[in-house]
Amino acid sequence: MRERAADIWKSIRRDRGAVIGLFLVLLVAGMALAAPLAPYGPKYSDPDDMRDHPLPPSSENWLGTDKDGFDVFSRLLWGSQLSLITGLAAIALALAIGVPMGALSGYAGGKVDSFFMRSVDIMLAFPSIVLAIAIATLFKVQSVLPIIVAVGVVNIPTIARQVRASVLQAKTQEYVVAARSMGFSPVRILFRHVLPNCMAPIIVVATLGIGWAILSAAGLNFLGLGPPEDEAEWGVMLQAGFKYIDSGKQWLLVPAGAAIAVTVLGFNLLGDGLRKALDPRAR
Amino acid sequence: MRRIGSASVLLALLLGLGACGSKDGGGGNDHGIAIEPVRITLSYGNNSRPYMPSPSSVATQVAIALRDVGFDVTLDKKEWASYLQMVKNGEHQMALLGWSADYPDADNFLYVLLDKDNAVPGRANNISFYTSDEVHERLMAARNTHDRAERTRLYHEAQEIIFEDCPMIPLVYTEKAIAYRKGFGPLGVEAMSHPILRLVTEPVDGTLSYLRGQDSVRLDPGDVSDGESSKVIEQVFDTLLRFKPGTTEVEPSLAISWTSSEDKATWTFQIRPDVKFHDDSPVDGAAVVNAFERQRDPEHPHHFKDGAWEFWHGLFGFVKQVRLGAHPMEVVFELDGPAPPFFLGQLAQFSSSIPSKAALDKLGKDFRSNPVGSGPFKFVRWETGVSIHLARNDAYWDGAPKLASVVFRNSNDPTVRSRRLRTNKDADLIDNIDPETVPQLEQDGDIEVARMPGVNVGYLAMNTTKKPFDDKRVRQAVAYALNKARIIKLSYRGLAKQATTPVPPTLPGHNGSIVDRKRDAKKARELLRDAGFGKK
Amino acid sequence: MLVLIARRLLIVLPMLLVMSFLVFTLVELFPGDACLVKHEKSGNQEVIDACRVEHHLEGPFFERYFAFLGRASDGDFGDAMFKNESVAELIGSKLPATIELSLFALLIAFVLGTWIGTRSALKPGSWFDALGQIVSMAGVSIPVFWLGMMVMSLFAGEGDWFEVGAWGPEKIGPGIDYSTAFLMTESLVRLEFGAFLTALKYIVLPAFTLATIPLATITRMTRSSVLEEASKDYVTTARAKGLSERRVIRHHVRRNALIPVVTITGLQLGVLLSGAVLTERVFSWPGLGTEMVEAAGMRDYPVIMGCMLFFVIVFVVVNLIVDVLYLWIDPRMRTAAD
Repeated sequence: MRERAADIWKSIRRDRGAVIGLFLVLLVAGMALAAPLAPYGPKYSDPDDMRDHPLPPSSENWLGTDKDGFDVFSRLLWGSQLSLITGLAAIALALAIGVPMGALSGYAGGKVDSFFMRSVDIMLAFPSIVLAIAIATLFKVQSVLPIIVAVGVVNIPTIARQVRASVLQAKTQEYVVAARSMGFSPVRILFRHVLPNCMAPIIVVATLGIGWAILSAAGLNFLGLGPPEDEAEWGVMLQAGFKYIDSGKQWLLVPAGAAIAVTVLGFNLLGDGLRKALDPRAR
Repeated sequence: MRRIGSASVLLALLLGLGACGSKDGGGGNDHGIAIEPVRITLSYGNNSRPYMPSPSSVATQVAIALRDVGFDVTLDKKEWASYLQMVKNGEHQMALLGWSADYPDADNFLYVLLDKDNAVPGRANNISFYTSDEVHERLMAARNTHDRAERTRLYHEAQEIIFEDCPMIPLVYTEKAIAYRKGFGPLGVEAMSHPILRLVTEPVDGTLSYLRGQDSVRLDPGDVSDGESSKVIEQVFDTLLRFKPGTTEVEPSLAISWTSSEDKATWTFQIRPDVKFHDDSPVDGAAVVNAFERQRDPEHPHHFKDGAWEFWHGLFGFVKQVRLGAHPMEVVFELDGPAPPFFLGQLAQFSSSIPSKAALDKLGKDFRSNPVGSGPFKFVRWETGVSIHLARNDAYWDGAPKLASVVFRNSNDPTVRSRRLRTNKDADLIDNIDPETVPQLEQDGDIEVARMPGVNVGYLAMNTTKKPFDDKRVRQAVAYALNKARIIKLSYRGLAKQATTPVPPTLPGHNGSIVDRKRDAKKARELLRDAGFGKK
Repeated sequence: MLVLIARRLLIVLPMLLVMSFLVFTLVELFPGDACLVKHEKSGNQEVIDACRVEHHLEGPFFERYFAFLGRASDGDFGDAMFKNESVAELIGSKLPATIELSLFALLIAFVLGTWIGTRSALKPGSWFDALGQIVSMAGVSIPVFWLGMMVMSLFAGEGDWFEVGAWGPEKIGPGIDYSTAFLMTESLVRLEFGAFLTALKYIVLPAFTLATIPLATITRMTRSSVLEEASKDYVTTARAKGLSERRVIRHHVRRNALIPVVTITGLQLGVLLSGAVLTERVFSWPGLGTEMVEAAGMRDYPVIMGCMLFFVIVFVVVNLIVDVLYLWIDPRMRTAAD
C-alpha cells in the first residue's frame, strides 16, 4: 500500500495538470482555514454605517462591499469553508449510500443486482437539476442542508455504478476466490478484502464528484433554493450580484464566480490526475 | 488509510472552524453590557411584494441590526405559499409582512393588522396575535361613527397604545413608482389604483406598451384579487364612483348623484344617462344591480361556481341587497346597518366595476377572457401568457382617450423590465420597479420616473404568544436596535419613507405626532438585560 | 431492427411510468399550500377548499395518481394555478424555446468540439492540443451561470448588437404568422432573413454559453477517439500504400472516429438540459427551465408536475433515439446486441 502511494505520488508530480489541481485544492483549503483571520465576520456589517453600498474596493474593504454592506473579501474566504463542507458532505452522503449499494449489487448479483441497477437507471434518467430541484424543494427550512442532500442524492448513481464495476472485476481475482473457498462470510470478504482494493477508482470518482457537487450546489444556490441572502456562500453571492450586472460593479460578480471556477477546476484536475496515476491504461 | 485519516482531520478542523467562525466575528461594540445571545428566527417570504420588493434584503438588514445588540438571528427564508401558511397559523417568532390598502381608511390597517378579532390562528391577519382590549374598543367605536374628528381621536389613541406595546414595528411606507419613456404623458402614480391611461395625452393616437410582471389571471372585475388583472380591468371598466386623479377623494363616475336614508342604511344612486357598454348595450340600473348581486348571491346566474369572489366579503359583507330603485336608472343599496365611513371609497375600487349584463348573459364564463365594460378602452384580444391588447373607446362618456391603443406584456424579472425600458426600448411604461435600478432610470434622460407615497406599510411582526416576544421589553429592544434609515437606503434604495405607525400618512387618522424610537444600541441592551438576558 | 426498437420501448415505457410516479410523489411532499396563497385576500375556507378540489389536491394519494395518469393520457395536465393557461398550453409555448436553445448549443458544441478534438489528436502535444485541453477543462469547471453573466455584461450591454430578454414572435418576426414556437428555425425555413438575424441576436450568447458544457466532453471524446482510430492497422496500411494524409484522415479516420462521438453528443442532452435551466435564468430565456423554477417557488403544483414530467420525457426519448441510432449506425454493436 505504501509503495503504491509513493508510485501514485510520483505519477502525479510528473503530471502538470494534476500538480496544478492539487495546488488549487490546497489553495482553497488554505482559504478555508484562514477564514477566521478574515478582516470581517461572514455576516457582519456595521448597522450605523450609512454609506451607499455596494462600495468599490478600498483599503477598508479589499474587494469592496455588496449591496447589504457585507465585506466581499471576507465572505469570499468564509464561502470557501461552506463550499468545501458542502462538497465533502454531499459526496460523503453519496458514498455512504452508493458504496454499499454498488458493492452489494456487484457482489450478490442476480435479482439484487437487477433491482439496484434499475433504480440507478431511473435516477440517471432524470436530468440532474430536475431531481436536485425537486429534492431541495421538499425541505421546509431553506438552508445548506437541502442542497447537500439534493446534490448528494443525485451523485449516488455514479458512485454506485463505479463501485459495482470495480467489485465485479475484483470478484474474479484470486484472493477473493481463495477467501471464499476458506469459508469466510460474504460480508466479511466484501468489506475486508474486496472493497479496500477498489478504493482507487472510488477515490477518483469521489474527487471528481466533489468538484461537480460544489458546482451544482452553487448553481442551486444561485437559483435561490439554498440558504438566505446573508449566508456567505459563493452561489448566494452571485444571486445577489446578478442584479448589478449592467452597473459595472464587477467586484460583485467576478470574485465569487472565479472562486467557484478555481475550486472546481482544482478538483477536476486533481481527479483527472489521480485517474491517470491509478490506471495507466486510461491515458 | 492514512489518507482517509488526514482527510477526516481536515474535515473536522474545517467544520469546527466553520461553526465558531460564523457566530459573531469582526467588529461590534457591546457598550459594556454583555448579553447572553437571545436566539430568534426571523422568517420571511421570498417573493417581491408592493410594500417590500426585496424581503431578503430587509431581513438581512434587520438581522445585522439585531445581532449588534445581542440577538442571535437565524434567517428563515420561505416561499410565499409556505410562508403565508406559517404566519397565519402563528408558527413564527418574528416575521416580515406588510399591507396595501383595500380602501383608503385607517380602519383597513388597524383593524386588519392589530385587532384581536383578527388574531385567530389559521386565518390570522394580526400575525402578532396582539389582543389588546383597549385598542379593540377604540377601533369598534371608530367604525360606528361618521364623526370625522371623533374617529381621528380614537385612531390616534389606538396608535399610541400600539406604539407603546410594540407588538409590531412598522418599518416603511413604500413609495409606488412607475418609469416611462419621455414622449408619453402625463402619467402619474395613483394611490388607490394603477396609472390612469385615459389621462395620457401624448403621443396622440399612439400605442402605449405597458410591461408588467405577470400576465393577468382573468378579466372579470367581480372575481379577481391580483394587481395584474386589476391593472387591465381599470382601463376597460367604469365604477359608480371614481377617485379624483392623484387623491383618495371620490367623485361621480357612472353614478351622478347619491343620497342616503337617515339611518345611513339605505343608499340610492342615480345612474348617468346615455352611456353605452362596448357592445352597445345601455348602462342602466339593471346592469349595476347585476354587477353587485352576482358577487353577493351565490345562486346568481353570473356567480360562476369556480370563482373565488374574494373581495365581496372583505369589502361589502354588510350589504344585504342591491336592487333597482323607483325607475330604471336608479339603484338602491340596502345595508344591514349604518354604512361604514369608507363605503363610498369601496365603490371606487376595481371590484366594484360595472360589466355589461348583456355580455355576461351571452358569454357566461367566457366573459373572463372577453371583458366588456364601458371604460375608456375596449378589449381587443388576449394572447395568453404573452399580451393583452386594448383599443380606444371613441364613444367614451368622459371623452375619448388620446391614446389609440394599449398593449400589456409581461416579464417576470424586475431587473429585466428596467432593462427593456432603458436599453431594449421595447416597453414604454413599467411598474413594480426593482428599487436598485431606480437610480439608473432617474439618471437616464429619456426616462421619467414618477413616485408617490403608497397607501401601504411594511412591518416587522413579533409573535406575542411566543417567547421571548411575550415580553414587552424585548420587543422594545428590537425597536431600539433597528436602523430604519439604513433599511430604506439599502433595501428600498430610497423608495420609501420611514414608518412610525401602521397607518400610512396619506390617510386621515394617521397619528403624525408619534416620535419614532431612534436607534440606540445601548438602550436596547439595557432592555434585554432588564428582561433577564444579561450574561451572568 | 424493429425488434431492437420494440425491446428498447419495452424498457422505456415502464420506466417512464415509474418516473412519473416518483415526480408525483415528490410534488405531493412539497410543503406549502398554494390555494392559500391564491386566495389570501379573502381567507375564506370554503373558497380555499373549492380550489383544492378544482386542482385535484384532495383525496387519497393513489386515487389521485391514477386519475392524473388518466387525464394525462388524454393530454389534460390540469390548469396552472397562478396563470390563465392550461399546463399543456404553457408547456407547448415554453418547451420549444428550451429545445431550440439546447439543440443550437449542441450543434455549436458538436461542430467546435469535433474540430478542436480532431486537430488536437492529429498534433498531440502541440500548443493547440494544450489549448484544447484547457478549453475542455474550463467547460466543466466554470459555472455556466457565471459564464453567462460575464458574457452578458461584456457583449450585451447598451449599444451592443447582442440583446437579452425578449424572445417572442412579436419581437423576432413582427408580422410573420409563426406556426411553431421554434422561432429561429422557422424564420430560416421561411427564408425570413431579417427575422432570422434578429433571432440570432438573442440566441447566440446563451447558446454559446450553454455549449461550453457539452463542448468539453465532445472535445475529449473526439480527441481520444481520433487518436485511437488513427493508430489502427488499416490507417498504417493506407499510409504505407501512399495515400495522401488528407484523404486518409478525411475519408476513413474521421468517419469511424465520429461514431462514438455522435452518440456521446446525444447523451449530453441531459447535462445540457440541466445547464439550460441555469442559462435560461441568466439570459431571461422564456423556456421550460425558467417556468419550472418559478412554479417550484410559487408551488404551482400542476405546472411543476408538468414541467418536470416533460423534462424527463424529453430526456428519456432522446436517449432512446440515440440508443437505437447507435445500434443502427455501428454494425459491430448490432451483431453484439442481437
